[in-house]
Amino acid sequence: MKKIFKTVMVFSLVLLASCDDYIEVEPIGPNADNYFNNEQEYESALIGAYDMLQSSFWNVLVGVVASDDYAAGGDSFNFDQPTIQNVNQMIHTPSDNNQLRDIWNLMYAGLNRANYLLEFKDKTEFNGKEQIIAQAYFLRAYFTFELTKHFGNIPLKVETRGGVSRIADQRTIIGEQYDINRVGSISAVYSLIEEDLKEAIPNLLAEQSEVYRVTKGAAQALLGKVYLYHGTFDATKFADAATTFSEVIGSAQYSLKTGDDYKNLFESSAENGDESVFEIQYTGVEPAGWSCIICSEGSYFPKFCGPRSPYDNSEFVTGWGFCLPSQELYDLFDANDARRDVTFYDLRDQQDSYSQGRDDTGLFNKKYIPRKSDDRAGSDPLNFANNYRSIRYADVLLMAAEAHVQSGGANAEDYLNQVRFRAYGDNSHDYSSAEGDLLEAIYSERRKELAGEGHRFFDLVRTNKAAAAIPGFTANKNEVFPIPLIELELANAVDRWKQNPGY
Amino acid sequence: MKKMFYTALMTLAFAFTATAQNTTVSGTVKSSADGLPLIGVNIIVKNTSSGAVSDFDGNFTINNVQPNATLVFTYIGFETLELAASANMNVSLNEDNESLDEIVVIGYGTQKKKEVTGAVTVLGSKAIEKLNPVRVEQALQGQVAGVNVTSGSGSPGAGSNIRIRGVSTNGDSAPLILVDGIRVGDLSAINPSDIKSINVLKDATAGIYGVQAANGVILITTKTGRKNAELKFQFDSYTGVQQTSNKLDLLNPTDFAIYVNDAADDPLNPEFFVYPQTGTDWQDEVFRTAIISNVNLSASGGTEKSAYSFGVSYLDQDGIVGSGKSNFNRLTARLNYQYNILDNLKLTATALHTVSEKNNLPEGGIGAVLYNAVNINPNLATTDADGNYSLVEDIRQIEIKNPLAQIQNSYNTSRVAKISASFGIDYTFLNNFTVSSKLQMNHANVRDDSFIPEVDYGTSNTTGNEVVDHGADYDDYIWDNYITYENSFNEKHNLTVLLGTSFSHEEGKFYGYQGTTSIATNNPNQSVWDMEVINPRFQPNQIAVGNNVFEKRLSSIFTRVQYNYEGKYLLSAVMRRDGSSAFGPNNKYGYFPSGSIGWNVSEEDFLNDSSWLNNLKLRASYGVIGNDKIRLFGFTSLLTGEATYDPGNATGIPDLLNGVAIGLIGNPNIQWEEQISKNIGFDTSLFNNKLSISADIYSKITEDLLIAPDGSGLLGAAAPGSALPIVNAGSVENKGVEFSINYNDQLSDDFKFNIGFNFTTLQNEVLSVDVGGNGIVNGGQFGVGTGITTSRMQAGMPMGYFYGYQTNGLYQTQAEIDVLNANAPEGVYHASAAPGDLKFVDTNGNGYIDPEDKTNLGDPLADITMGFNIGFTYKNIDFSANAFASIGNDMIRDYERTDLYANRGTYMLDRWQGTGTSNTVPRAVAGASVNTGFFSDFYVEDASFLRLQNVQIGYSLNSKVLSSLGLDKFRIYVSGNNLYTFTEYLGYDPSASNGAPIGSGIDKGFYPVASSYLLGINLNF
Repeated sequence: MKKIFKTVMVFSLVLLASCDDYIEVEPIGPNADNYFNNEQEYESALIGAYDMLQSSFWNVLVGVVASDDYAAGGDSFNFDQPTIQNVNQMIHTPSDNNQLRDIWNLMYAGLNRANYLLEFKDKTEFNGKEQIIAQAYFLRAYFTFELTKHFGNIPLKVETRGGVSRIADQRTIIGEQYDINRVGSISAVYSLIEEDLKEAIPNLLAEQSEVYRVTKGAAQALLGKVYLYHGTFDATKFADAATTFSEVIGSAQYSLKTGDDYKNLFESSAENGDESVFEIQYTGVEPAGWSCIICSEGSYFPKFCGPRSPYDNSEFVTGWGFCLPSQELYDLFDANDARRDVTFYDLRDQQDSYSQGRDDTGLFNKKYIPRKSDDRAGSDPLNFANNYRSIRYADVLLMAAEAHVQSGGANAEDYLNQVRFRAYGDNSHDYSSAEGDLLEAIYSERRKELAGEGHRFFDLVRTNKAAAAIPGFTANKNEVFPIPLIELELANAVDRWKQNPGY
Repeated sequence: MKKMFYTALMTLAFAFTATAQNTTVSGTVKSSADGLPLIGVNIIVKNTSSGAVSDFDGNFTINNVQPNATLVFTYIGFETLELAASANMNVSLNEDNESLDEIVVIGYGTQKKKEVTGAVTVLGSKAIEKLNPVRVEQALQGQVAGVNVTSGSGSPGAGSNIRIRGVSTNGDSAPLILVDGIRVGDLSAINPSDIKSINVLKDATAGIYGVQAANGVILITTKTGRKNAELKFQFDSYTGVQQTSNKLDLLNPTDFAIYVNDAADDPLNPEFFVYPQTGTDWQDEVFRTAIISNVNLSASGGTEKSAYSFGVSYLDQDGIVGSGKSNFNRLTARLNYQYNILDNLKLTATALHTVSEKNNLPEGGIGAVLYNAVNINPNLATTDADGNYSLVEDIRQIEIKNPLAQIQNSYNTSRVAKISASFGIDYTFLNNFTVSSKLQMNHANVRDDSFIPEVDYGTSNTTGNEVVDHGADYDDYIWDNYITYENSFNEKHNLTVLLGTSFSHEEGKFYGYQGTTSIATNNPNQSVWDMEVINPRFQPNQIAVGNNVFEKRLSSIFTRVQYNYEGKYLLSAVMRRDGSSAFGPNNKYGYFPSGSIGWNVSEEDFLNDSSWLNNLKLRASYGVIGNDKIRLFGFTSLLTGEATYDPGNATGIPDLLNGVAIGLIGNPNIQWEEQISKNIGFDTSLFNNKLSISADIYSKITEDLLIAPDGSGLLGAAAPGSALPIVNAGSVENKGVEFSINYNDQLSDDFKFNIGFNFTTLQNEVLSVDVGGNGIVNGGQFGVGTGITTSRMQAGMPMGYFYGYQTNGLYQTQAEIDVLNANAPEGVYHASAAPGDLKFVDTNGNGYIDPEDKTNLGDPLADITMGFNIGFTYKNIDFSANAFASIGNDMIRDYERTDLYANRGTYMLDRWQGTGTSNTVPRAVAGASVNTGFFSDFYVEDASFLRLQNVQIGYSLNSKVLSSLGLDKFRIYVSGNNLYTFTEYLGYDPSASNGAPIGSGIDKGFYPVASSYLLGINLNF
C-alpha cells in the first residue's frame, strides 16, 4: 500500500515536471523584437513599409471627389459609400468612419512600418545600409505628408536629434496613444517632413536598378512639394521650393512624353517612364478578396471609376461609376488639347450602354479606369494594375513654375510653356501677359494637367481658393478633414487633441 | 453482494421446484433496444416469493407456477414489466432512461445518477432513436433544458451552433465535445445511431475539464457490445423526401410591376405600360423535393472475456436547393472492442473512420442562390427562346443572377476523411485502486475543390476560369492517465478519489493552389495545373512565418474527491491545473477549483417510507472554470503581417517582393477567460417514479473576456495582416432557470405513455467592456457595402444587441416634416426625408437625427426556450412527437436588395401611397431614401417560433411472430421532421443563426431547414 502510494507520488511528480516543458511551443518565424540581424532583414522590413503605399488608393479617391471637378457618383439606389458622398458634398462629419478613417489608419500604419525599421537602424552594420535608411525616411515623409494634407497638424511622437526637432525613430507602442500630442501647427509638421527628406536625399541614388525604389529625384520632388505647401504658411519656403525643383529639373533625368506616348501615359505599358518621378506600383497578379482589399497588390481606385455594369467594351471593364468628371471641367479643354482624350472617357452619346448611377454625366475618369489589358488574378476584379503616378514631371514643372512666381524666380513661364507645348504640340498656346496673371494661369494649367489625379482639392486649399470653387466648402473648416471621432475617443484625446476646427 | 443475492434467489427457486406441482414457465429476456439477451434479470411470480434469474443467454425457467399467475420482470436500467405467465415466453424489456440507477458519465469516470450533484442531463439511445436525427445536434434541441442548437444553414451537412446556457463569451461559445474521450469539433462525422448516450455537463460539474469547460461539456459514448452475448445484428434504414419548410411571400408579377411603376414615379413614362399577369415563381424553380436515405448495419456480441461492437453506415442527402449540387453523403465504419486480459486488466479500443463529401452552393448572403431567387425580377422567364437560362440584363437589378444558371455553374465540393482511434487500459489492484491510461487520436484530411467557369449572367459575369484546390490536415491526440481509489468504510462512508493527468496536442497544416486562366474551357474536371496562372495558397514568406500551420498543446493535472454518507449526503470537489501553449508567459498555468454538494432528502428516515415520494435530491454547485480559445501566439508580436510589393518590372513576370511586417501585436499578459458558475437545483420523482421533475437556477459570470478591441490608428494595426493585441477586458453574465417535468404511466397492459416539458430562461448581460475609447465592440453588417454595423457589445446590454434607429410610424405629410425642420438647430431634422418615409426618433432630443440617436432595437438571444415531448405505445404501435419553442429572439431582415428591379415581400402591398394609407410600411422609392440607407427597427422582427420538430409512428411485430421469423425486433415507422413552424417572422427560418456572439441574428437569406418525411425500418436479428 505504502509502496504503491510512493509510486503514485513519484509518477505524479515526474508528470508534473514534464508537463511544464510539454506546453512550450515555439512560434515559427522571427519575433518582432529579435529581427534586423542582417541586410536581408532590413530589406524585408523596408518592403513592408513600401507595401503601405499601395493602400493610399483611398487618398486618391477622396481627393478626387472632394474637388469641384468630380462628382461622387455610385449606385443611385442607395447611399453608396456614404463617406465618399458626404465628402463630395462637403458635409462630412467626424462620424464618417469609412474612407476617412481608412486614410488615417493606413497612413499611420505606413508611418509605423517605416519607424519599425528606423527604430532598429543602428542594430546591425553592413555596406549600403544608408540607402535603406534613406528610403525609409522618404516613406515616412510620404505617409506623414498624406496625413497632414488630410488632417492638419496631426499627433506625432517627436524627438530632438542633432538639435533639430524630428519625428521619433520609434514605433508607437500600446499605451503611447494616450500621451502623444498634436504637433503645434501644420507648418511644424511640414518642417518635420522636410527634415526627413533632407536626411534621405544625399543617400538616395539618382537611378535605381529596381524601378520601385525611391530615387533622389523623387525625394527632391516631394521635398519641393512640401515646401510649396509649407509656403502657404511661411512664404520664405517658396524659394526653397524653387531651389529644390531646380535640382530635379536640372538633373535632366525626366522629360514630358509627347504624341502617342502621351496618349498612352496612363496605360500599364507606360508605367515608370521618363515622365514618372514617383510612382506607386500595383499589380493584379495576386487575387483580391472583399475581406481584405488592402491585402492585394492591386489598386481598388480604378474599379470605382469605371462605368457601371452592364457595360460591354473591348477596352474597359465595368466599374462602379464613381469619380465622375463634370461637364464644366470638360469644357475647359480645347478640342486640340491632347489632354482631353487622356482625361475623359466620353460616353455622353452612349448613356444607355451602361447603368447610369448617381450624378451621371456620361464622362468618366480615363486616367484611372479599369482596363481590360490589365490581367488580374481571381474572380473579384478589385486588384487593378494601374500604377498611381504620384509625382509626374509635368506636376514638377508646374509646381516649379508656381514656386518661381512666388519667390521671384525667372523660369515660371518657361516651365508653364513646356507643359502647354506637350498638350497642344506647338507653341501657339505659350503664355502671354494678355491672359492675365501668370500665377492664375499656372493654377488653371494644374487643374487641367492633373485632373482626376487627386491633387486639385489640396491645390485649392493651399491657394485659398477652395471656398470660392467648391460648393458647400466652409472656410476655416473644410481645409482639412475631421479626425474620425472614434479615433479621438480611442486615444482618450477628445480634449487633448480636440477636433479639427469647425467640426 | 449482488451475486450472493442471485444465488439465494436461485436456491429459493430451486426449493420451490422441489415442493410444488404446478406448470413450468420458461422463456428468454432480451433488451428491446438491441435484442441482446439480458443476463441476471430478476423474475418474480407476482404476490409470491417464487421466481428466477435469467442466465447468460437470457433464458429462465420457473417451475411450479400457478395458472393465471403474473410474472414481474425487474432489471437495473430497464423498465419493470408485468406479463401473464405462459409456457414459452419471449420477453423484451425497455430501457428506462429515467432510472435513478442510470450511470452518468462525468468525465474520467461515471457516477450513479442518484449521486450526481451537478446539473447533468443524459440523453439515451432510445430518445435519440425516437428523434431519428440526421445529425447528433438535432437530438439535443428541445430534449435537454439549457441547450440551444441553431444552424447557419439548412443545407445538407451544414454545421450547427450548440450553446449551453447562453452565450458566455464574445469569442468562441462552442462547448467541448468528447466522443469516447476523443475531442470532436464537427459532429457531422458521427452517425447518430452509433450513440449510446449523450451526457451534457452544464454547470461546475464540467470543472473536471478546467480551462476547456466554460462553454459546457458534452460527453458522447458510443455503443459497446456486451460480454457473454451471442452475435447479434442490427439493421436500420430510412429513406424519404425533403421539402423546404418555408417559402417567402413575395410580390407576384403583377403586383411587382405596379410596385416598380410606383417606385420609379414617372407616370408619363412608366416602367410597365402593361401589367404582366404571368411570370416566374423563382422560389418554386429553385426549391426541389430532395431525397434522403440512410442505412446502418451494426453487429455486437461478446465472449466471456471480450465484448465487441462494429458497424457501418451510409447517409446520402440531397439539398432542397440544387438537389445534387448541394448533396451530402457520409460513410462511416466503427469498431468498439473490449478485452479482459485478466479479471483486473481490461483493454478497450475504438476506431471510427468517416468519409464525407459535401457539395456547396453559394448560400447565406449577397450572391447566394436563395438571395438571388428572392430578389430576382419575377417577370423574367427562367429560360430564353433558345432554352438557355435567361440573363439578368436590366441594369437596375445589378449583381443579381439567374439562380438556376448559378446552380448549374456551381462546382464546389468539400471532402473530409477522418479517422479516430482510441486505446485504453484499466488495471485494478488491491481491490480499491484502478489505474487507467487512455490515448485518443484523430487524423482528418479536408479537401476543398472548386471550379468557377466563365459565365455570362447578364450583369454579373465571371470571366476566365478559376480552379481552387485547397487541403488541410489536422492531427490531435489526448493522453489521459489517472488513478481512481474507491472504497466504503463501515458501509456508510463512500469515498472515491481521482488523480490524473492529461496531455493534449493539436496541430494542423493548410496547403493547396489556386489557378486562373483567361481561356474559358468551362471544363469542371480540369485540375489547377491546367490553369495559366497558378498561385500557391501560401506564399513562401507566409510559410516562413508559419501562417500555414498551427500547433497547440495543453497539459493538465486534476483531482476529484467524491464522498457520500449512506447515499444521503453527497460531496464532490474538483481541482484542475491547466497549462496551455496559448497562454501568455505571465499566465502559463491556471487553477480551476469547483465543488458541489447534494442531499438525498428522500433517503432520510422521515421520508423513507413515503408512499408518494420516490426520490428527492437537493444539490448545489460552484466552480471556477475557463475558456482557452485564445489565438495562438497572441502573447508575442510576430512578423506575420502582409508585406508584399510590386517591383514594377516591365517584364510582365508576376514576381512579387515579399518582405516582413508586424502581424498581431502581442500581449504577454494574455490568459484564459474565467467563469464563475453557480447552480442550485433539485431532482425529484414521485408517484412510483411516474412523475419526475428537475429544476435549476444558474448564474455564470465570465470574466477576463478576450477582446480584440478597436484601437487608435496611431498604433499601426490597420496594416494588412496586422491586428491590435487581444486583451482580457470584459465580463458577461448569463443567468436563468431550467425546469423539466416528465410523466410516464402504464394505463393498461397495452397502453403506456409519456409526456414531457422543459423550459430554460436566459438573461444575458454584458457587465463590462474595458477597451478604452467608448467601450464598445461593434459587429454585424447591414445591407450591401454600407459599412453600417448592426450589433454591439456594451456594458449593461445583452451580448450582440442590435443598435440602430428607432422609428415611430411614417411621415404622412410634408407639413409634419416642416414642423420638425423648423425646430431643428440647422433647419434640417433628417436630411432627404419625405412623406411616406420612416419617421426616425430623436432619442437624444437635440432636435435632429444624428448617429447619437441610435439605440437598442432588440437582440438575437431568446429569453426563453421550451421543449415538448409526448409519446405512447399501444400494443404494437408506438408514437412520439416533440416540439421546440424559442421566445424573444429578434432577427434583422436583411435579404432584400434596394435595387428598383429587385423583388419585395408582399408586406410591400401595404406600403404608404399617400397621406393616411399606411403608418408601417414606407413608400416605394427608386433612389436612395432614409428607409433603406439606415439600419432602423423597420428591419428588426420578432423571430419567436414554435416548431413541430419530429413526429414518428412505428409498428413493431410482437415477439411470437418475431421468433417464428427468427428475428429479435422488426419495426417499421414513418417520421416527419420539422413539419411546421409557427412564427410571425417574414424570413425563411426564425431558428437560423450564424452563431457569432456579436453579429448573429442577421438574416441575409438563411437556407431554411428542410421538412422531411421518412419511411424507416429497424431490424434486429
